[in-house]
Amino acid sequence: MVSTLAFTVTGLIVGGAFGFVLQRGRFCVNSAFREVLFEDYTMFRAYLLAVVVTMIGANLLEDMHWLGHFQEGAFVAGTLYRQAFVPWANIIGGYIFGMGIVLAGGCGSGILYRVGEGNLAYVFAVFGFFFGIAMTKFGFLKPFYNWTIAPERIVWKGEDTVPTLYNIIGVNKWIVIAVISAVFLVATFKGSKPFVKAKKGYSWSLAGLLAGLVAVAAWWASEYYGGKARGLSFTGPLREFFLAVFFGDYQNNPAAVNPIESRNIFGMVFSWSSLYVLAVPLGAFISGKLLKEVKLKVPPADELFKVLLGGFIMGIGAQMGGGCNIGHSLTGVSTLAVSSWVATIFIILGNWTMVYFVLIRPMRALDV
Amino acid sequence: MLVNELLTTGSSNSCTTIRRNTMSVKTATPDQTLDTLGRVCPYPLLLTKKALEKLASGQTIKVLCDAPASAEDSIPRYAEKQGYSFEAVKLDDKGYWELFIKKS
Repeated sequence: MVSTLAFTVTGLIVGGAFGFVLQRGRFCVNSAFREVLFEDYTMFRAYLLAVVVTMIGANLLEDMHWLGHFQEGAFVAGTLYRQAFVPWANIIGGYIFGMGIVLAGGCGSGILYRVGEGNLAYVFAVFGFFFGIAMTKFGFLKPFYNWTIAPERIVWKGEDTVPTLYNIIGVNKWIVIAVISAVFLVATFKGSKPFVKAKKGYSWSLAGLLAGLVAVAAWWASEYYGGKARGLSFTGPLREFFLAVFFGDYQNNPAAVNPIESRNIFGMVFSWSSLYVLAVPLGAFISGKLLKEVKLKVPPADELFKVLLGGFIMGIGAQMGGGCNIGHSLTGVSTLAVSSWVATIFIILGNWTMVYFVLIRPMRALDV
Repeated sequence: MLVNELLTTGSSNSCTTIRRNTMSVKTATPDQTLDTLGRVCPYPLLLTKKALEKLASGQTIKVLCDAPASAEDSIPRYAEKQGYSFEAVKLDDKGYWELFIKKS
């Protein structure tokens, strides 16, 4: 079994690398989805590229049996974690999450990396995010949440197989990967200027490529060091981080603690991915500091409040939907799980809905 | 097809200038100054767009912005798309940008 030191350092490195890439690449999925409505496809192209890279890389890891961890001296091969298809949860949760990120001014990873740049609003967003997650999983919204994910509402392929884009049509997964990659790559590069370097940051193509590579590395490392292939995700890990800090272990339930997937660090039991929550802002901070872009920034009071509310809504949506813009829309879609593709479509729709009501309509009214 | 030259001139240790088009857009007397410091995404871009719509052709706006994604990516990209002249001055010691956009 991997030592606590290796466990900790690798978790921090993967999260930190992602934070660095996000900051330097100005990579935010909320912006990507929103700007499509304003006919700026740059960030969306970066996102599509990241998806292609992650999809190919992750499935290669799985099929080549490079994905796995050591247990009692033997290498145990792992598989990518494909989330079960719970339509009510994926659809409603995804839609709510999409709305929340617009108010919060950033997506699940976006709010974390911008904490590293020093904007106080995003600290509020992160706390709001945790509130929403906790309220949904443990609190006021728990009955509704449990209803949406109840066993009778899970849709399986056959007896107990998680539906994927390839098994529902009955083809080899690489055919689906090839088709999607071809479509996305054409959409990404056709008519674009991929190598126009954006001043000091990364060009969009480099940002997308690097984000995808870190996501693939996270798939491998989460299995090898973290004991379970979860890849990059922020919803569960954020919840786990705060539970560990508040209550001593990442599940707030000592009986549920899995010794392969967690370690005791300074008296608190963390899961591997929960370390991302600290590492992403730190990585972003380092990148930002080197570019001299870190500064304590405070928005107007009403904006702080709105961002807190946005974070809260994001948290509800992410917990219910089973993931955020990274958990579902990057990591999840790379596994071709139907749950993640459906959730992502609804995240986009929720984003567009909120953009219309909060940004487009009020701005039109100002023209009169 | 317009060929726009990106000129980088380092004038001092504490700021860097990026310019689009050879004529300097930076001015001590902009027609409007817009402060977006501290604002969250996407307000820096949105407020800039709105302000530009209200300006007359030939006028210049100076936008104070401290969001890297807006200052370096979305706002310059918008200016380029509209065909406006753009110049960014990064005040390293202050940690924010002064963006000058001249409506054509």
